Amino acid sequence: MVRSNLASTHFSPTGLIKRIFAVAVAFAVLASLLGVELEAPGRAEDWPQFRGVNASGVSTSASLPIEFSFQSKVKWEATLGDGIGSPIIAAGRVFNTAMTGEQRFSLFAHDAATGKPLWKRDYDTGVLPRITPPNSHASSTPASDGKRVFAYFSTVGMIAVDAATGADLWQAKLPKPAYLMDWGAAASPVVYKDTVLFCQDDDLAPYLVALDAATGAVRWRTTRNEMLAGYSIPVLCESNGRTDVVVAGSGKLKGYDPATGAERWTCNTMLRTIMTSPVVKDGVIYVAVQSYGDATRTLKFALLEWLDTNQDGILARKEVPQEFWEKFDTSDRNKDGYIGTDEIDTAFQHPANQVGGGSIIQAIRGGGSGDVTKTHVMWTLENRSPSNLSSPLVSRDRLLVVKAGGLSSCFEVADGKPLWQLSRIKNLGEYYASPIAADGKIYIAGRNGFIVVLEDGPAMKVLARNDMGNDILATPSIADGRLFIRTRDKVYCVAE
Amino acid sequence: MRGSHSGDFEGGIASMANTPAICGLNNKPVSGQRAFRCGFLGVALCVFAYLAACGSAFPCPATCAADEPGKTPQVTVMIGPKAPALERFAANELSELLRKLFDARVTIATEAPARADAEAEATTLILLGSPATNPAIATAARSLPGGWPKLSDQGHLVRSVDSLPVNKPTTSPALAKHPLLLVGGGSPVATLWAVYEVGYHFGVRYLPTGDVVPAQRPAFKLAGIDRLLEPALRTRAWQTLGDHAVGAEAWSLAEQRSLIGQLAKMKFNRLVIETRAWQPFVDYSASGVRKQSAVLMHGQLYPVSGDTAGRAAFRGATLFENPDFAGRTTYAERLAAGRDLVAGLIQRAQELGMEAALLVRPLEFPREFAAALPGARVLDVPGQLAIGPSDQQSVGDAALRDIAVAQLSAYVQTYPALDALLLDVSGAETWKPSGSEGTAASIDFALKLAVEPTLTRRAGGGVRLVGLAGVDQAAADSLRTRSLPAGAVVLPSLGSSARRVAAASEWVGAAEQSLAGRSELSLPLGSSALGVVPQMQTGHLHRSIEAARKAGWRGIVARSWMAGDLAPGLHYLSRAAFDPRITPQAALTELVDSVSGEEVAPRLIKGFGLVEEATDLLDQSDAMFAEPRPDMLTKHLLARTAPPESWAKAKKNYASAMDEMYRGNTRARQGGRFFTLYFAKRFEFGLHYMTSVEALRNAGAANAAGDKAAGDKAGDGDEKRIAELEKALEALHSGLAAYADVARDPSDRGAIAVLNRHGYRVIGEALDAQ
Repeated sequence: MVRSNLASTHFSPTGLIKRIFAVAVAFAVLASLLGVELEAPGRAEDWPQFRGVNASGVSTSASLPIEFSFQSKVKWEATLGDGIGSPIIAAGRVFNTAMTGEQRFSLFAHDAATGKPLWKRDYDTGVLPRITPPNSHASSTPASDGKRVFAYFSTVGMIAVDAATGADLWQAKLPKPAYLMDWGAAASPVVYKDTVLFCQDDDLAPYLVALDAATGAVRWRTTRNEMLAGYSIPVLCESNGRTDVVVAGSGKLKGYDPATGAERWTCNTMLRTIMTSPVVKDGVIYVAVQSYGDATRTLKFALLEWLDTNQDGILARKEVPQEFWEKFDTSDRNKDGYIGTDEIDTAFQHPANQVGGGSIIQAIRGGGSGDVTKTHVMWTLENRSPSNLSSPLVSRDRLLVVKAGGLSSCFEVADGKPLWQLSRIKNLGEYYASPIAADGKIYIAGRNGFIVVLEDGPAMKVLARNDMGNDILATPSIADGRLFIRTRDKVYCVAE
Repeated sequence: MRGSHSGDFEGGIASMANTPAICGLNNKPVSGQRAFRCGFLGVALCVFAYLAACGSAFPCPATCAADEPGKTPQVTVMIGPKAPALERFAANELSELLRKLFDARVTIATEAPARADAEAEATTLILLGSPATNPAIATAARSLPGGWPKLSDQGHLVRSVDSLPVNKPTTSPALAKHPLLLVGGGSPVATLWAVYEVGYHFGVRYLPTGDVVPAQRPAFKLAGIDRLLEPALRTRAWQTLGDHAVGAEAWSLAEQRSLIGQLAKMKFNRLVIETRAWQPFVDYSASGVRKQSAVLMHGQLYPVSGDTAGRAAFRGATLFENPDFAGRTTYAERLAAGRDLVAGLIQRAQELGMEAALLVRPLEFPREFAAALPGARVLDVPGQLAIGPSDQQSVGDAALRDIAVAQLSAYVQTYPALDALLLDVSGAETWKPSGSEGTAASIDFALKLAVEPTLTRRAGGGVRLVGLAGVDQAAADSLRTRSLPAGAVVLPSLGSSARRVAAASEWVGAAEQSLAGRSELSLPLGSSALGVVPQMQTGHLHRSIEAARKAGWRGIVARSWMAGDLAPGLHYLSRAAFDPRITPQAALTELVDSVSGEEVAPRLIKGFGLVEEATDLLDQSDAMFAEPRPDMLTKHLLARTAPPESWAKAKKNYASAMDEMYRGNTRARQGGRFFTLYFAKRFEFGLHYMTSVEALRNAGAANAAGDKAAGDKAGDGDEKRIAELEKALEALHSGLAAYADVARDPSDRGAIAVLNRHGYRVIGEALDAQ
């Protein structure tokens, strides 16, 4: 704690300056300890990126409806086009993306309260890469600082437009991602202060980049060569007097310096395929991940199962997507045109990160330095609760996960003590969207188009099951007492 | 590995904030602005290049202008000046094909191009038709070695002619200077098939759902083609409509027209429209009773709500139904819609050169006619919608005759364009008046009907009776020596699955010519026992086809509820009907190589083989395993015994087959992934379906065990039962959701609707009741 001689009566310009400085520092330290974001990306009620402020999934909105449907309590709706990115809300506007043509990607702005269309921007995507259903090419959720909107598209790069008018501000070309299994892009940007952070963990050249929010210039870029394809978005963790950019990736949870991209710490407890994003609360990072198979299920098994299409036990060059041929050739040490059994282990998975599958929920203290694997893990649960797709929710000191079949589990964040496990929320099917919370309620959207509302409490209590009429893969959003729900082709605004 | 510097990124960052307003381009998309600048520069460069070329020793502008048009193939399709309608249609089809494949510029003409310039000489001529319909072909044939080959009315050819001999007096000067392609047949419809054979030669594949053009455009090379095809099976019929929600009853006329168009491309030459007594396709009265029944899908409703598993397949509809009948509630309205449907099917078949036949059960009547037939039997159909004669009615019973004649006359009068009528006696084997055996009575009755004057007398001539369907082997044998109406055929019913029909291959192959020569094989492409579950039986189809061909059977009448799974089987049939050497594997490779790309076929062959094995296992274990009926899933709950071991093997096969489809999908070309993905999801559905029925069986067994062990710790049986019911429900939900991802036709949606009504909802209710 910085002390300042606030009681001094001797006034001098130097002394005044010193006092002001001291007060400012004290304020900053106090704010830091309380976990208050000093430069919030928007208004307190905004939902400015995937899963809201710092991807927490929690909103301070009140008076949200319990019962609603695509025909009830709908304040407005708009047809967009195919897409699975979430709506974001900033400064009274809601932004969405969609595919509106075979090779056309669109960014929409509507008035959040009335749904009045404000502007729409179209972008020519060119030839599109292969993706695996039910992914969509319009899969990324935009982000906004209230003045600008940042949207990512795999063949276009990062786009920045004026939030009020949709006018182009800049475009930053980014390397097109490549996926061994053709999953397709789905990473989303986040805004931190005056930078746009974007993590693209693909199978070819994973990286984390910081772009200048005003110009799109690259502030820094950090390669993440040990990573395999993953879809976790960067989150910010304030701990130990600083803010780290935290990214969950294959095998490793890492913290970076947001100013330089330098790696500050690593916690090597993650699993092979990470599709969920962490949640941060009070300087603790919570992760819930599930990756196919057990600890021995490294990438080579997936390669031999899915890419080795003639099932002869070795990979031929032509069995691998063309974007990976250079990597293939490097791995083909004996240059026989095949990646054989003695080459495949490290062919596409980093030799120092040969991690397999499993299922874990973990709490990791932020603010570390170096390898924190043995020092910063507060607790770990290995059970069947987590989903491979739907991120955890931390609300009111409880951590909730939902997985396929509508099976929900809840744990106390302090020590991982289970409150309930694998209890059905009476809505079957897959869960791609992540749960969100506000106003004492938790909203869980199933792929089948139903949104189950739970009471945000220590016991599982289903309050309602609401039909939105069409598939939902995008996580809904909350802002200003309204729910914004993206079905496969529309956006709905629902409120009391 | 790449470095960590920002220089790795492309420098394509443009700050619009600094864009000068010279062209007023502020606030325009970056890409448009760049395009404008690039476009202007590009034009400038082109102009400069043009001027440079004109001022140099390079070819002059006139030749430059001619080079551009020469890159687009120029084709003239020549038809006879009095070419029949079907040949004109064939010419249009050929033009469309050439445009799709080669971006060709196609002209349809009745004369060769008269211009003698370079462009005309570069034009390829395609002569379409036959010497009888196209004088140009007659002329060209005179100059060809061997002339025009002898073709049957179904024979067709595609033959390249480099050029006609110019010094022969018979060579037409107009034709002499062009490379020629002869596309024709022994009849107008055979000429149409020749056109589709051109498409096939260039890699186009004809699926029930549409054409697939090769991803890699073929070179425009019409030389060196020499295909002449004659059918090994003269009748290639497709049976449609029928009476199940998962079948063609749910298909609108528009959807049917599309499918029939594809069948024509596969060279099917007869459409058999199966109708049932209670359906809204005819109106009549007899013996004082008026027909009142007019239902489809056995009168069942299939609502779609939020709780429908796989509802995405219905795209917002709240009721699964035939869209042509939407809102038609009265008898008159439904009858009108029904007439339009059947008349539309007949018209569509005939405009594509196919024969249109109706398949009617002469001994099946709507239930309201029970009043006219004392002691009438209620037939075993869902909803008890139909009655048949009792043993009290003899073959010569007047009331029976009146009703039957009224029904058949109604069909003949309502559809005057109909080519033929098939009388189906299947299901009538229980009618044994005067102690008669088997289907003897029904056959006698049908043959008497066949010579009824009211059937044979109508404006424009009587309808041709095709023959008798639904006769078993013994009855078919007995018909060898019976006199049948001229041109009539026999369609023995050998089983409800391709496997069961193939099991009779020995009998089929040994049939004497007196039977085989007037018989057509009724061929289910799959298994009705498997109903909605994934099924393939191409291997069995092959056995049956080989036997039928060997013995000289006239042809086949293929049928299936589900068009989707059976695409490979249908494709095989369409090729095997003309090529006796082709095997299912070769046919599949030809299909998949074009549709999905090379190296996908081995995965699919393996996967489909696993599904064929699964189909056999299930077909053998239960003749009604998944036939779409109200008890299709609850019967497993009531069985109270563990599932048979063969089911575990079938389930494993579906899982492995699914994996093979995904492997194939990985290698499939972009435009061909729909094919592999469809099967991947269908087999995933199959896997979940098997999980569900296993769990239901286990729930039933737990029920039985709980009943037996009433003295044991309370709740054990209940817990197990509930757990298994939950598993069954979840598996079915997952399966239907996977299926919905690829559902593309009414049969797919019908399967999902039926399983919701008779499975998902019922199991859910059973669970709620626990």
